[in-house]
Amino acid sequence: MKLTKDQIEEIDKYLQYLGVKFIDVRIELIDHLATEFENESEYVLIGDFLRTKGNFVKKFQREWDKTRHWSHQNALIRRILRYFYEPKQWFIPVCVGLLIWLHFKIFPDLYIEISFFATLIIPQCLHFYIYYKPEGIHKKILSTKYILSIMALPSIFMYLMGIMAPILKENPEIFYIYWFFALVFNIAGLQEVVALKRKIVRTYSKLISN
Amino acid sequence: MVNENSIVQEKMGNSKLYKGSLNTIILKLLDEEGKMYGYEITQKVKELSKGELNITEGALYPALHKLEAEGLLDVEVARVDNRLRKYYKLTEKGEKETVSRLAELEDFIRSMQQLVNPKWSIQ
Repeated sequence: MKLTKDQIEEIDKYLQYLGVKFIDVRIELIDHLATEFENESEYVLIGDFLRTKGNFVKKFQREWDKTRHWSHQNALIRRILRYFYEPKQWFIPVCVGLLIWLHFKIFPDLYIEISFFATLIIPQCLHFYIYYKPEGIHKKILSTKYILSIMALPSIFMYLMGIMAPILKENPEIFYIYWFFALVFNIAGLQEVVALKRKIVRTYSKLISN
Repeated sequence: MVNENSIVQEKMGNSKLYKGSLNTIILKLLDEEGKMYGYEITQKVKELSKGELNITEGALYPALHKLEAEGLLDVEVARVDNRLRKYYKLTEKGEKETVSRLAELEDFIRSMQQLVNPKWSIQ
């Protein structure tokens, strides 16, 4: 017996009642619960069946969130490591190193602080732009949330500056190494953000267009 | 009643033995079927194992989401009946990983059989 549109809406309302607000999470749960009810439920009323699924629904969203958050952080670390062990990826660290070396050779020390902060702030601003620019519907997709969290690790370089400043001022070599890694982390973060955004748009285009 | 905390429920045996194989089972099924949705995977496992294995929904979805997040699975959303359905399929990276994990699993089974029953082993 196939569920009617009203029964599907009843499942959706139940999920929202349990706090599942993101549509990408809801579509998977709705389909699973509806299919299970259609194929093997002993219950006559959908409401009775749903009441037995409360724990599964809560765990589903919790696990989804946990898995995704850490997987994106892992993907970022793997991307950074690939810059160093995959010859095809050497282009990025070489360019960053060259940029810093040229800056050191061409510009006087006066501009170093400005350049340093600019190169760290620009990727952060860009990732906010990527998050906020598209249509509002993206905010209803849980996966979009990770666009923001990916850049948490690269932003540490900026926040640590307060503590690191005295050491970096006294040791220019350490400062250049710090700058190099800060830039590499930020570029890797931006690449992850762009890849995730593309994937969300591709996968959930049906949701976005509906 | 299905216990959501167990990875795989089975009529006989120890679920811990299957714990490490869940991802490989999923990858293998997707390799054979092309694309599948969550409920379909649980039913296929039950069918292939003649009801001996039952992947719980509480274990299946975290595994699927993890594989997707690792870039081994891709997702496709399609309208089916009155609702949207999320299909999972292998990515190129997933196809390579399936081959390697199956080889690993076969090696493991062979080693276990040699240990448990040295007189009988699969070729």
